[in-house]
Amino acid sequence: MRPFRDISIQRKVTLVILLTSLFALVLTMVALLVYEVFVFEENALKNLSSEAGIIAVSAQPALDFDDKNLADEILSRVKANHQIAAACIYDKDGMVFASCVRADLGSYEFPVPEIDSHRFEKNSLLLFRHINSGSDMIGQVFLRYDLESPFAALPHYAAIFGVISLVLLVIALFFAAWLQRLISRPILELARSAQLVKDRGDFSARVPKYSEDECGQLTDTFNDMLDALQKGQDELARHASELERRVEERTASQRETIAFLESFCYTIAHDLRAPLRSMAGFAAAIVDDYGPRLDEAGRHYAQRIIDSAQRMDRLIMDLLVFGRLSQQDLTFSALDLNAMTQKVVQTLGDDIQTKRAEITVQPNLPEVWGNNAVLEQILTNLIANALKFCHPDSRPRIRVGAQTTTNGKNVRLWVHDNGIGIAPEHHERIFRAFERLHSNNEYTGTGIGLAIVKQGVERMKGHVGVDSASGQGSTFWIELPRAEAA
Amino acid sequence: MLRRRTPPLYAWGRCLAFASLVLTIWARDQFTDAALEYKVKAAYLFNFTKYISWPTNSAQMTGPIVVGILGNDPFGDVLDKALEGKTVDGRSFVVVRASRPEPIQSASVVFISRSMEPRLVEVLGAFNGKPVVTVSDIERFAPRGGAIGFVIVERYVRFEINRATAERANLKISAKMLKTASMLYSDSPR
Repeated sequence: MRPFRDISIQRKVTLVILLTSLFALVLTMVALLVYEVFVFEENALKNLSSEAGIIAVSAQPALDFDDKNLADEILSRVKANHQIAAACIYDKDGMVFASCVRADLGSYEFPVPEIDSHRFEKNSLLLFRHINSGSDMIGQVFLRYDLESPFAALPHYAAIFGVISLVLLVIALFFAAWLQRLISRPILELARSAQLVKDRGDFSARVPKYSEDECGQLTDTFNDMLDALQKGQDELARHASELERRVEERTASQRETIAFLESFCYTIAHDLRAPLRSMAGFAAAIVDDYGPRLDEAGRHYAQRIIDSAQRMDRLIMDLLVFGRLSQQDLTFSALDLNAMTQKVVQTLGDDIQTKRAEITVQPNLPEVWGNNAVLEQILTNLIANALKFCHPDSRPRIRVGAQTTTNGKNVRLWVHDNGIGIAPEHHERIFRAFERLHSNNEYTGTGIGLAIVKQGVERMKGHVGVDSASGQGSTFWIELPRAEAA
Repeated sequence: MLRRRTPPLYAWGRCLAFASLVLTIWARDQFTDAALEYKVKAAYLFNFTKYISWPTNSAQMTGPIVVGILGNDPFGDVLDKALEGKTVDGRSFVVVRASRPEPIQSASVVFISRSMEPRLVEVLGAFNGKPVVTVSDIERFAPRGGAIGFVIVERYVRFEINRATAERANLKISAKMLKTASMLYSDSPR
């Protein structure tokens, strides 16, 4: 059944018509044949009786007047029927008066006449019929009829069957073409529309309705479904635009708030520095101008004021940088890491000398795509951290390098140190603002440096990370787009 | 006659006109009966000439035996075919058709068609006393004064003889023929 299931509806209609007609035809033929077999002998008898009757009537004058010529002439009519093998006319004494025997039979011994009887004998039918003259029987007719098998007509039936089948095929094809308009077309139309709707996502299409039958119902249902779909789509679009509008509104208000807060922070930070500077300035003036007049403790206190003020100033400076990083519009360009590293090392020169640090920079660093000031800040922070977090009594050894990543699109820049290292559980924390692992007495700092690094890298569409273990040194790395790839 | 002789036609007939089988057989029987009837009558006409003798000096005894048909011919070519090539006592047959009795006064046998029934008395009068065997299948032909009348008895063609008419015409009908006749009349028409 599988191949039938997969063929087109048009073909199915044609096939169904054809098969049904053929089936009906075969049934009819079989029924006819069966009937033929059943009525075969009866028909033979009927035909033969009719023949015998004709001969009997015709033979009357011949018997009346002993006209043997006429009798022979009458009997000769059976020669036309090949199935009649022998025929004779008996006179009233039961003697053969005239006879006719089919050539292939040679001689034939005519049986003793039996009045008006018939019997079947070895594929032949023997029939006797009386000939009357008024109330007297003046003779009899005898016929021997060879029965042909009822299946002899089978080839003829087959031929008829073939011809009718051919005609049927043509009719079925015409019929199918007509039915196709009635049945297949609405379905095909529906299928085409469904395909169209699927391909274009256009729910405004409608299928024309051809009838009020199941196909028509299907068409209606399909159209209703399209209606519902379109309504749903419209609703969805309305919701989407509504949502968009709301998001925009909220985003705008949030942006306003953020901008306000940022400018607020910026102003505060900026304004905080002025009193700090005067605090530090005047404390320094006290040490310079009144130093000799102060005792040791007084000078120490003044110095503590200066240090605190400077630390606070640094904190504010870092906050300003961090704040600026999050709101600033950044311009991107190809950056030469070689020159930048050199510049950063120069800037940190004092610190490096103080700590007697050893800095190795890999030659021929690749170019990256980013913002110059931000990357410089990041690099400064990373190298400064490397200088800072080392064992108090060992020399910092720092290596800086970069290489293109395996996918060729990014550059990984790393700063390796031999410092105190960071336990793996802290790797995430350290990039958050104000997170510090050490007290200010051990290692001074604001706790914002790595937050600035992370923020900056992310603004430049990069990644940041650290490979380190406690006491084993650290490797901080950042990944930025390669200049050529961006 | 039997359809089995032509099986394709037979099969077609069965396929296409199966329901009308009985009807066709009936129709065929009707047809053959009519044709057969006149074949048998023609055979009788021929045999009559063998068992009837005409007056020796009459016109009927010279030349071919003339068989006349008066009125509309119901035989068609059946009679001509039945008599074709046949002879009785060395005399051959001639079939003559006429619409009036006068041209066939010297015929041996005259078959009077049913179409002549309205003028039967006049026609029989024309042949009265003449050595002409009048034969017809008009109803009650022999009792009405005809020499030999065909009748149908149980589908068989039989004949009746009016001996008075035959005697008036100086015709001698053989004993065998008289025995074969289904009915003999000896009285003159009323």
